[in-house]
Amino acid sequence: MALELRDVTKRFGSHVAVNRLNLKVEEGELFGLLGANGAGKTTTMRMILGLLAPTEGEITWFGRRMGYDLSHQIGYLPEERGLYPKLKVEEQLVYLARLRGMEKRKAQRQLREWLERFHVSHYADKRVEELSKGNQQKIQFITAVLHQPKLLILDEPFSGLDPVNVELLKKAVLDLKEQGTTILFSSHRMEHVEELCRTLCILRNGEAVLQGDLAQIKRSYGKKTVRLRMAAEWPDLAAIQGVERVHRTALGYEVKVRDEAVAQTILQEALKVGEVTGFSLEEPSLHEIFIEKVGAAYDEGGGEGE
Amino acid sequence: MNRKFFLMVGHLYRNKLKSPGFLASVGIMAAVVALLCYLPMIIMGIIERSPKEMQVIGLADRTGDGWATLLTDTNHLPENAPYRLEPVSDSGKQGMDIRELAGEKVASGEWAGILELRDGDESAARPAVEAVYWTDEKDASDVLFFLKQLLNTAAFQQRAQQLGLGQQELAWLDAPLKLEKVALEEGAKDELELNIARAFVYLTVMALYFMLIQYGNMVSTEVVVEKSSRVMEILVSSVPPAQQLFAKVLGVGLLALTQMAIVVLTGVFFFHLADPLGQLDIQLPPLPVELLLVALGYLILGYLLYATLLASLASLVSRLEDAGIIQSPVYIFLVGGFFLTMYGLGSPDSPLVAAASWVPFFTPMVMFLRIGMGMAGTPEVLGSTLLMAVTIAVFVVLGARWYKRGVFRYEPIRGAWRLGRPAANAGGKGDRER
Repeated sequence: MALELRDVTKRFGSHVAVNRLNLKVEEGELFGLLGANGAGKTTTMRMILGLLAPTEGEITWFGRRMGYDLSHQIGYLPEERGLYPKLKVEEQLVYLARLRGMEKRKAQRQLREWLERFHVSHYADKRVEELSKGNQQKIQFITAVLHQPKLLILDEPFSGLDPVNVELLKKAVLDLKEQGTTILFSSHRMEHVEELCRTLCILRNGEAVLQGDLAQIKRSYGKKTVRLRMAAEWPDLAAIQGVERVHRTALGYEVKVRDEAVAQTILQEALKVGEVTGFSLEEPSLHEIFIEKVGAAYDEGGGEGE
Repeated sequence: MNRKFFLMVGHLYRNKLKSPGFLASVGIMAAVVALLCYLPMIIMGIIERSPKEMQVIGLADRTGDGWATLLTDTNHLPENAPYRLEPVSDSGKQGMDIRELAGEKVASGEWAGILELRDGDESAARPAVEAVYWTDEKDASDVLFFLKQLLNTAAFQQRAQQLGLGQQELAWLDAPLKLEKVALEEGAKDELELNIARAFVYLTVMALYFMLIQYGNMVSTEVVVEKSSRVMEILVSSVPPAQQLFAKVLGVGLLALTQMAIVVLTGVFFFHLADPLGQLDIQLPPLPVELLLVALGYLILGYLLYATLLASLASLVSRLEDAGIIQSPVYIFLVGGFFLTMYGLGSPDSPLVAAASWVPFFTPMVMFLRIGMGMAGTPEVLGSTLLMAVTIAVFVVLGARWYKRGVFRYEPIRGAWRLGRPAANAGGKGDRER
């Protein structure tokens, strides 16, 4: 196992930020770490980076405890972006890569490739403060990957980017994964996580409420969505056993059902009510799973707005 | 200490060295030093180009005792005297209004004023002549001082004449007594040496004070800029916070030494070129090299103490304006040390100064003063330096701990005072992550 967290707990005084967390990330895997604001994602990432020591438990990278001796193997893109505003892009990136143990010439060579890839070569001699927010974000991403880390930690990598640049960065992330980089990825955009991650963990109040293979999670989740296209009104739809929620749409109904068997019952009953022009059974989206698993924390007052 | 540490030191040093702020400050200081070397030459040049015109003072002698002859004789005037006296014609005439005449002459610019001599009280205890100076000058202290000296000399001459004394007897009467201080302690400084030491200590402590403020401030600004721009998040994941703190202290310290070297070399170069002491015909004793080395030692120790403390405190806030507030107690110590030293220049043997020189925050300036003035024994110097070294070590350990906690702290300044408690927000962005 590349990255492993065993029974990791982090307390700040009486406050428990992360509670008995267990994670296993294989080499070359793109792992999603999800959670509402204040769920403990950043604390977990900082512990993995070795910036915070766990109160209990152990974090290892290929069996070695995390610490500054491994910092050259790790790349980090923090959610709160930060660069020296007065320093020129090339000077800054080469310096930060050297702090991660990379040779100067190699860093300069790699940097040229990355700048070209992100179409920002002409900014190499500009100060960071002169760049647009989107371009600063690209530079920040290069900071995290320039020294060719084996473990890459990305905290909200796509926030604030336009769709074109999101695709550019997404492609870069997938290429790094293909090259064998282990990536821990955090985002509030569920469609990005669904698209990129095969495995994930959802945190709530510092505890893992769901983790494992995404396809398996969806399959075992049980609840599915039935989409019915029909013009007729069907007020008794919600009364069918196994129907959890009914939503009237312009073209018909969107029905949340407990399992696949309920979908068949609905189809049979619908045909009795009127003409059915369309029927589909869909797996739950990660968004729906997230809302259900994490939404409870807000109801209990455990989550905080951002 | 490893490669990353020196990489950070070098990065900070190079960036600051080529920063416009540093170049400007070094340029200005070097220019001021060069100008000071040429100052005597400049002042003398100005004096030579515009010699001050000798002013005329009218003399109305109403005594009839021959004072006018004595006072207007230029042989009695001191060398380079700014005034000379010119008799007022018919001044002995009754009914002449001196006030009115002075008004006219002063208004026309012919005279600076009129010195009127009248018959005074004949009693033995007082001189027989009284003098009044009529002028419209608001501040006539210079001319009054000149006239007083002139009148006293003339009175002395006249009385000597009345007593029938010759020039030899006059010189004997006027000969001053020799007074010399002999210190009981062997090797103690004489008055001239003390005055030279006082001037040297004054200049050195001023330089020490401004350098401690300038470079202590530069270190803390570096910390706050890295925090406010959030680049700290990246740095702290590459290099341990304590190493970052000391890399900053060392990098800026090297910068301070560079600035000092540039200014000193500029001073030495222009000093030899302009030879200001030769211009003024002043002979100074050789440069106290040992004392300069002591000053350098105290600069390094003082810088280590103040820079570590200021940087650690700066790490607890994330805005420059908050840094000023949280660091103010440290600056109070620094300013306090400076004022104690200024007080000590006049009373270097005061018990207050002796006690203050043992306080590590004051030692670099106050103990240096006592050493410079020859008031501190070797045991005191070693003891206070040891105490200061221990204090620095304590603050290095504490500072590293505060810095480690502080770099993740972005909460308002009131939270920064809870130094002893772990940062509740250390796990998250801002102060919201839990």
